[in-house]
Amino acid sequence: MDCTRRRFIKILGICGAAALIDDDPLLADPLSPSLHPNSEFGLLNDGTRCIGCHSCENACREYNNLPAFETRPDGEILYPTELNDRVFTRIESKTIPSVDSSTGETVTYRRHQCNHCLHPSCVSACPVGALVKSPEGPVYYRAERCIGCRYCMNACPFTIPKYEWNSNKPFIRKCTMCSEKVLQGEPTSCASVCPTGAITFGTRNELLEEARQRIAQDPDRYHNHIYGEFEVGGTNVLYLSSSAVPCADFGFPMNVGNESYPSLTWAALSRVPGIALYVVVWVTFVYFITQHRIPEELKNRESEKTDSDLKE
Amino acid sequence: MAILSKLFKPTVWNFIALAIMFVGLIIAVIRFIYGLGAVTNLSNTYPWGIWIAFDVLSGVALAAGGFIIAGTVHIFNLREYQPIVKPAVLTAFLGYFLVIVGLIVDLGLPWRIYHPLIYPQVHSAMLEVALCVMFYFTVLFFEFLPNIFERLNWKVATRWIHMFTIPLVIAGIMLSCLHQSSLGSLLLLNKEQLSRLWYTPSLPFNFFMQAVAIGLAMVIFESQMSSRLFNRPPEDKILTSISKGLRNILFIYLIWRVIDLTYNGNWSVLGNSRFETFWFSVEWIVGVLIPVLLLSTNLHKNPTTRFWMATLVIFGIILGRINASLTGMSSYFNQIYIASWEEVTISAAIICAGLLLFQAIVRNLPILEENGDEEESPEPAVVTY
Repeated sequence: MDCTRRRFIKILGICGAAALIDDDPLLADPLSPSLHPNSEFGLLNDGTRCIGCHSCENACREYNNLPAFETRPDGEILYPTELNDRVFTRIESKTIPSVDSSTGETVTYRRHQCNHCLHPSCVSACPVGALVKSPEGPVYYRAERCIGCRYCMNACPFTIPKYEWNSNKPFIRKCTMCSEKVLQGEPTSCASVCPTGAITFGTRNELLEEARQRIAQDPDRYHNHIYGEFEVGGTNVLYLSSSAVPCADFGFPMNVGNESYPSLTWAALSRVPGIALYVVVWVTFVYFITQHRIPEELKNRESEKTDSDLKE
Repeated sequence: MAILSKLFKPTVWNFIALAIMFVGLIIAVIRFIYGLGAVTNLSNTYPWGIWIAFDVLSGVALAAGGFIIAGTVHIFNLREYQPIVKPAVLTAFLGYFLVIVGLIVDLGLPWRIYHPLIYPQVHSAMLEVALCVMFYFTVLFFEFLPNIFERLNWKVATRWIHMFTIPLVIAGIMLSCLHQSSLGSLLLLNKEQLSRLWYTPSLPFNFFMQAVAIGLAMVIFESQMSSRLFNRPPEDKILTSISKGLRNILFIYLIWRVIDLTYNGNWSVLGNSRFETFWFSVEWIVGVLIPVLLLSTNLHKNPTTRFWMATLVIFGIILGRINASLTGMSSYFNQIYIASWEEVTISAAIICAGLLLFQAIVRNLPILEENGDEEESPEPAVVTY
């Protein structure tokens, strides 16, 4: 009996101690409200200001030491059409008929990157704390812990974490919001090169304020929605889209809801110690009840049998 | 040669199994040299394939018979089930061993498999899965150990380990309850990706019930297979009552899922995607409805029909796990994942390894009790080859 109880306490102890073992100050509890709401940095991607120059893609590639983009024989660069382990951000364009029909058609843009959720699904999914939500905002990756289970990829509602499928020592790759820079208060590489101010770096509160102002000043130009303000419990990267192509038309997932993702599993996981205790108590109880139910003769016969077995 | 002939019986089927394992081994070597991309159809859209859906999610469920039968005999004290305890525990032990083999192939960095112990992150359902695999595999090892001690005739060790039987069984039941349900908890984060035909906040409970059903079906399947393989009288009486239990749990599962789908208003998504609706129907009609109906008649007393019903349940619940982790996401991603032949071969090789190991252990250790001792001593049919 004692053995079970000890084992059980040990498991509980491991779960309980886990919170203490991880004393890394950068590992924020994925469920806690944001630790520093005023010093938490983010990006505001304004689709109406973007001109599709791909400067951010190039800056990102250089900062993260990613391979050069493919080029056609005539020298034209083929910009990526999907995020993968070598592409952490990209610009998607959409051609629509012009509003005043005189100029024919106009092109609008949307940026793809990690949204750096306030309560990241990937951070809560990782069994070894390889993905971290820092109090400053970035969701970054500690490669030395990763076991390669790819649960973060499965868990992300935006399908952001990507894998090095063709490596025999593969890691997860994604935008880290240039965490080394941001932790020192510097803007990200993409924000610092954007020539039109389509990417603004700042604290999340400042950016929300800025976004609201832009919408208020030019309500015809903007779709009246700041993507990321409430989605999945809020994200550090915010998006403004044009009224012509609102975010839903540009493929932003609109059904993710405003509930934070970690709470979905926590609803089940928080009950685990209770269920474990309940099962052990109940099973032990049943065991003692049924022991008394053995007919005496059978009990004697069994004990005789084992005794004689052992004497042999 | 004498030892070899006791470990491996040279039948055609066993040689086919060996051949599949050999091909699987080559594919595994390629996978470890060139990465997962070289042999799998996994992608950034489908980071998990059949190695997770089948080998892990279904493999763990197939092993559920171990804790159910051990609990029935040792905790509920229903001694009439005693003859099938050891085979059921062996099935569970091998099942978990093969799950771990599957995980080693699937994990990107398997040499770090111990990291969940030293860097635990308690908000992760995957951590619960990882710890339960490790702890329950340890428990199963100790539940299996008496067979080796008895074979070696180590009397003191045998007596010593029998003192821990009850605590081990209780720990095993607790870990199994957690583990079976935690596999469902994993999928709770797929709120958006997974079709409402499978996604529900009660996924952990659904997975637990599925595990009980497939665990019982596996006990029937494994016991009748062993009887044929090792020329033993079938445990007809026991299996008839187990098939009644299987019918009951399937019936409860059926009712629960109907309530669950109705309560969450999820019947409306039926028909949204023909692909998903088709596989959902197969899972329910073939894997649940037909077995429930036929097991309710007198057919469950007939060994042949009982065997095929158990096989259908196993098929249905494995399909259910594949649906909940792969098929159910196809309409969201607008893309279908189909396993590569290499992935299928590795999974098949793991099953073959299980079958060969099961035979080798049953031939050499006192697993199938009763007449076990009589047949063990006069060097059975193996020698004739």
